[in-house]
Amino acid sequence: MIPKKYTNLFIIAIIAIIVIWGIGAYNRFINLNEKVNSMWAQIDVQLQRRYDLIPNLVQSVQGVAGQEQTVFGDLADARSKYSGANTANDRVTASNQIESALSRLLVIVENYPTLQSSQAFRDLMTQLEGTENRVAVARKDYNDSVQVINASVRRFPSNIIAWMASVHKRVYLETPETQKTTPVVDFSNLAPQE
Amino acid sequence: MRFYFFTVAALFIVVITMMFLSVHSAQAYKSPGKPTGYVNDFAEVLSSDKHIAIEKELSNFEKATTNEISVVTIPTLDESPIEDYTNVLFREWGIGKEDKNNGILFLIAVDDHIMRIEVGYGLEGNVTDIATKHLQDDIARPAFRNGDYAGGIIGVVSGLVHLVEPEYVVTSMPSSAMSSQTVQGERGGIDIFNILFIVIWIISLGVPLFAGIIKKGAQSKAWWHGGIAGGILGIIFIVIWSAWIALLISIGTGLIIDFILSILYEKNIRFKKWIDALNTRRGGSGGGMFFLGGSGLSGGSSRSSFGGFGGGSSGGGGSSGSW
Repeated sequence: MIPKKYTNLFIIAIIAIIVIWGIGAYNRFINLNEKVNSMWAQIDVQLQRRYDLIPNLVQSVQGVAGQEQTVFGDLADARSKYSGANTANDRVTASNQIESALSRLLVIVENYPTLQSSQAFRDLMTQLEGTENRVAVARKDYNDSVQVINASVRRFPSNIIAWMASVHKRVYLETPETQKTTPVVDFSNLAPQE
Repeated sequence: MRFYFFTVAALFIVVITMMFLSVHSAQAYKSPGKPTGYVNDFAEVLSSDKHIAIEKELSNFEKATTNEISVVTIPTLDESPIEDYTNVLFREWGIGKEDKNNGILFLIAVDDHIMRIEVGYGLEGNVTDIATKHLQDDIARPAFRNGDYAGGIIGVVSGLVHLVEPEYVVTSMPSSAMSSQTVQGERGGIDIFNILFIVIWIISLGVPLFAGIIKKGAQSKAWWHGGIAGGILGIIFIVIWSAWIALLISIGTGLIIDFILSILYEKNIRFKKWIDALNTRRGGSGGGMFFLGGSGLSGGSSRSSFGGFGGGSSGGGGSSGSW
């Protein structure tokens, strides 16, 4: 096929191609990993935004529905857990707690029509929905970025490069179903197959 | 030699199949299509003059301030949640400049009676969720309830424009009091000049080049010349239609065709004579025409077709409404 004198050249060319591909794959992994990290950080940003909204929400509801002490207590509890959480897992657990307490609060709010007719309260709800949507989008972006990197990390031959770059499989974020009274749909329940 | 041909052909088939498999993902979202301008009236609720007026206003706004506001009407969401749909569409079209993320999307699902204003990362400070909610509740809702989609959209767009740039003066859109102030606007879309320039460009570049390659390809036993011809064809496809898959198909087809031509050349004397006689010395003049055609192409496209949005993104900010 190839004249004998070109054999060495041919072999060098093949090796060069492999090395170039390897370097490209290595850098890609570094980038993908950083992307996952930044998507994770973005979730935190949005969770913080929601965290900051809660006192206003509680205050406006308390004025009207002051006797619903259990829910307010749970919400305050979950909130302080969130601010005290240090590891990623703790924060995920705490934010799930906040969500469940919030949804219970919103169910209660349905029973107080005076709240619904208050423009200030409606504005607060708009802000809350906006924040919930941002959290959901951030979670989805995070899961999408995990999907991209996991596909390459596990596939051959890129898994060799991944091992060399110390880039490992990342963990998907599973979020619980949250019921909201107002039409905000939680589309963060993407549980991709492993 | 035939063996190598088959392995290469098989390789291309495998690669193409893999590409299709990796790209395909099960999405409930169905794209409404490519944007034809800042206003995309897929539900066809706007009269032509209103459409043109709003389009002109948003186009001028973008030219003056780089912010990209887009209005999209669709008949129905088909059960898809509006937040999901709007965010995906926002990112698919890339509304807003890539570095500033200064885009806004106003989506109206006409038959579902739901709407949403989604705000890009960069504008979330000026255009708050509450502000967008008020625009929808106070301006769009009453207008849409009366079937006055144009009035509602114009009101919301004016509101958005003022939120983003309080000093900006709306010039092209009629105020809600008056109606038919017909404005001569530029409609987006490919028109005859665009097509003409592309054709001239392809001919001037392609013909002498192809003649030379076909001649060389048939004459030589090696069939990688066909790959080059296919590669050039593929690049043209990419430039016009962003079809990377076509590049692979073109290279593969080019290789196969060259292989066939090589065999023909060897076996058929008449074919050989015809190929040898092909005049390939007009390559230089072809090169000269290329530049002319190329500059004509860029002139033609900037005049009339909608170039698309700037690649910006949204983080889910904004609000939804209904009527």
